[in-house]
Amino acid sequence: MNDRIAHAIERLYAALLWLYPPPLRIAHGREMRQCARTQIRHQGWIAVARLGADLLTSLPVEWWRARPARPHGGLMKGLGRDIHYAVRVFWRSPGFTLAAVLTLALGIGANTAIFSLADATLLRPLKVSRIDQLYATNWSVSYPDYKAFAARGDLFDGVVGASGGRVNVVADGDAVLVDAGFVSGNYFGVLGVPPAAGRVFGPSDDVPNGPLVGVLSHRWWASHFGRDTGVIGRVVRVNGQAVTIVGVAGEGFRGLRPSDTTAIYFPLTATPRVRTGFFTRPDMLEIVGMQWLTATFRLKPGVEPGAAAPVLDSVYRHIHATEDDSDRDEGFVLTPLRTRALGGRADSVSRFVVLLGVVVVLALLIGCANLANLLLSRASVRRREIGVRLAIGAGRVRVARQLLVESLVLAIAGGAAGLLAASGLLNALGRFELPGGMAIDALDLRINGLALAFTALVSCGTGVLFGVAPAWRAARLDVLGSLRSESRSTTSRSRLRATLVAVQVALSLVLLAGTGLFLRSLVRALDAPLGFRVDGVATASVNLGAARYTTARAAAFYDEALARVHRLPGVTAAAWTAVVPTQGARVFSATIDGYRPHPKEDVYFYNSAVSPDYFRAAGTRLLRGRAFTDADRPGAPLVGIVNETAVKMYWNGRDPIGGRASGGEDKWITIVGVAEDARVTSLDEKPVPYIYLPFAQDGVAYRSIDPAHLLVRTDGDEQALLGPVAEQLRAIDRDAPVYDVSTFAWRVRDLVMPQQMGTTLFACFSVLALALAAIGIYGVAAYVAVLRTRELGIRIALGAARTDIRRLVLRQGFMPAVAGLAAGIALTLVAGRFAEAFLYHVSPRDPVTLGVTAVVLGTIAGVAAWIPARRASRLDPVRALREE
Amino acid sequence: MSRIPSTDAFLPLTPAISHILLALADTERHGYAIMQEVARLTGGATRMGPGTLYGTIKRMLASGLVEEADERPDPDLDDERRRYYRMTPLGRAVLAAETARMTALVDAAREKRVKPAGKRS
Repeated sequence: MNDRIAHAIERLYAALLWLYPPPLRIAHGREMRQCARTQIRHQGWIAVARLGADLLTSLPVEWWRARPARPHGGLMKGLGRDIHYAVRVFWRSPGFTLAAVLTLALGIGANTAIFSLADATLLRPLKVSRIDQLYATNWSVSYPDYKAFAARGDLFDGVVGASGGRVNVVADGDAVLVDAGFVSGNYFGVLGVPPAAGRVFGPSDDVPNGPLVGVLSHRWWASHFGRDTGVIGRVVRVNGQAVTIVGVAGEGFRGLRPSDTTAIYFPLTATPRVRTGFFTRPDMLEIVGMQWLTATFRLKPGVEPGAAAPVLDSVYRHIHATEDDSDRDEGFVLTPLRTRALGGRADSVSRFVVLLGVVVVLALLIGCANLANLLLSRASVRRREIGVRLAIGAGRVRVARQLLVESLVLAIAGGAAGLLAASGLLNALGRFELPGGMAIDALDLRINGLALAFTALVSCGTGVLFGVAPAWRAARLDVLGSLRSESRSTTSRSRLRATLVAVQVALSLVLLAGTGLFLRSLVRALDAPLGFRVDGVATASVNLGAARYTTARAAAFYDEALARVHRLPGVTAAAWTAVVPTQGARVFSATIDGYRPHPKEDVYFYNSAVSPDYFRAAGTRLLRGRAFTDADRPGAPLVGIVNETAVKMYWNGRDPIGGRASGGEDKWITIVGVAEDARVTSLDEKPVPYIYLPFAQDGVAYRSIDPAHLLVRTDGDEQALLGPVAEQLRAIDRDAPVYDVSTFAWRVRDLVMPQQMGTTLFACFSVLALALAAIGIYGVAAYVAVLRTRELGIRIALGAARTDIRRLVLRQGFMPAVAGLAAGIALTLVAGRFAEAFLYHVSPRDPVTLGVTAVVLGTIAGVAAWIPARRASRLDPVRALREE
Repeated sequence: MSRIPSTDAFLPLTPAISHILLALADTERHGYAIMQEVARLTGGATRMGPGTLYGTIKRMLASGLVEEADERPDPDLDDERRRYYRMTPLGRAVLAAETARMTALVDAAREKRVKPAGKRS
């Protein structure tokens, strides 16, 4: 055998030595190679055979001997020990553990909560099958229209008709006013909603004059009947009619809007018998002109909505051939139900949810950056520990596994705490409403398991990345170096940490600026003139129609109610109104005496019917003319009070008093007064022309068809008035459904809801972000100061001024913060557009907000960096040098 | 060395440990010399490779049967420095105990007139 071959075989053997357990290889690898070399030189090819045989016999023996020396070895046992060790490690550094778990919990919890919200609104708003086939239309239809549409089996796999209203249900002697759905017999079948108990409707239930049956919503079944299956077959009284409960709709199904609060469903054909007011007409189901149904279409696969809509138009025109439908200048348009489900403000709902998502993702990113920073400092502290473990023979794989287990333990603890945080956050979110007034509470949010798992995975991944990577690197470094506590990678490590701090500061600035912007717009919104004064007003609503009141009885009820609440102590004014400001709107097309509209101009009035004391009760100022009086009764001349915008638009700024307007049918209303503009729907609306009509002269409210609302102004505490007001109303008639007893302020809370919610959320997260960023900055400065203790000690010993030392350490901590501030301002300028729609009279680039934010954050960063800097400058050089 | 741990815990010795202790009984040796000595003592019947040898030595070091002497070149081989091992007093005591155990075994076999098997191959 020549030398070259011998050398090659020796190298091969040396390589094969890596197959042995590390401790043996480390302790004797060199000697083994030496032996093999000598053996090869002396014995030639025979040595090769013997070495091969030796490898084959000794490898399994050595691995077997190297297995962890425990009575019942095995992977799980080892894991158990690792977990035990990890828990002990964390137990011994409670500060780190608490910070890490809290960071993870808030990041995971917040993201889970917001993802659950996004899931309930944007991703899966309705619990119906194959939602992508379902379409809604822009027009309501009559029952004959609906029947004709449903007959088009060539286009649709089913058409469901539905209408909603409130009904008075008496079960077990209690009268409750609940939302009811009147639905076609195929409703549950076409939407794919199974029964949770009993049965749902079939086509045979939906026949005129069939037996009266009802299906409960799962939500109401749970809340009102305690999920008692015994309720099936029971007879309840609905608006005075006996109705048999036949079943419960599937869990999670909540009608065709995510915030639907329907408690009980009836067949469509039961409408004339169960509903009240207009709906009691026996020919309800035949009148072509009464368009009271919403139709929802399940398109056959392959049918385009654009192709189905013209068919609907032609069917409609055929049925309505004799009518003048000039006001219907737009044909049917089919929109996906998914889009429609979010209501008219679908865009702003999704923008808002996305905004929330951005906020929580920012929070998670800040949290991850912070966690990474924490773990980096630990990794450098633990270099020594890891070095010791390696030196006494722990395998690198074992050490890495241990670190991985530690990260996992942390992530699991964080995930568990995140679960708590998520449910807390969901509770808190329930108190808010989405833009457009959709109550988050009504969405029945549940913790989304998928989101939880995903976020835990992300956080865990971050932990593993930042925990294991540096530890692995430390483990790969030479053992002796780590034992000598020399940190060769100081520079790169502190640069990484500085970058993380800069990122944290930048993201914190975005959140803090967001808080500032929302706070400013909240202040502006609260200062904005509303056109009414909400303080000191209690409200209550009644629906006398549901209690089957006649007009005369209703009139007597309204009068007695006013008389009774006036006798309550502290009441200064009380009035009925058909519309609570910002809680719905009525509109009619109008003709104005002496006003010539432009071609194509719509002349209209938003309107309400109010009793004489309304302007004092609501706090709306009457600018000219007179308020209504008791003389403005049915039969008396029709009168009205208009707002300033109506004066500007329809009377060209001239005095309208004595002028006339008509809502049709040649009934002329004489204008007797002018009131200030009041908000109709939202803060940033364009002012609309408004007319107030006397409550007693109003067609619908007074005749007990629509609900009526009582406003009671007090010079005392309106909260204390709520109980007595409700009591007085119930004292008149126990069966009259009284509901929504609350303060005026609570009812109009929607107005500032986006600003309020934005402020609250941003404030919470930015305080959190600030705290995390401050910890991060402090951490970097302190870390650098500790690493450079020796150097600083020498500098001081050589006569460096303490101020120089302070400046040195301060700069280390503060520079990344300054970089972060600059990046954060740039980021805010770009990201501001997201929030623009929710701000009120504040630009997302508001320089004052940005300036103040940067100064606040800069100050905090300065303090966080200054503390370790001061400590470093007071270093005792002798002790500093001795420590090494 | 006031006390020596009990030797009983080590008995019976594995063949590898017995051979290494025997090889070191007269003098300290480095790894390759131990391999050669074992082969010589057993007439070539037992040949230890580096894996078996050092795996065993590692455990013997851990249990205190052998210890490292020093590192020096072996004049018989080359001028490469090699690590030498020597037997500890514990190792010597264990080897003595094992020899006593084997002697008793051989005596008992003789008493029963058990004849050794034929010539070793």
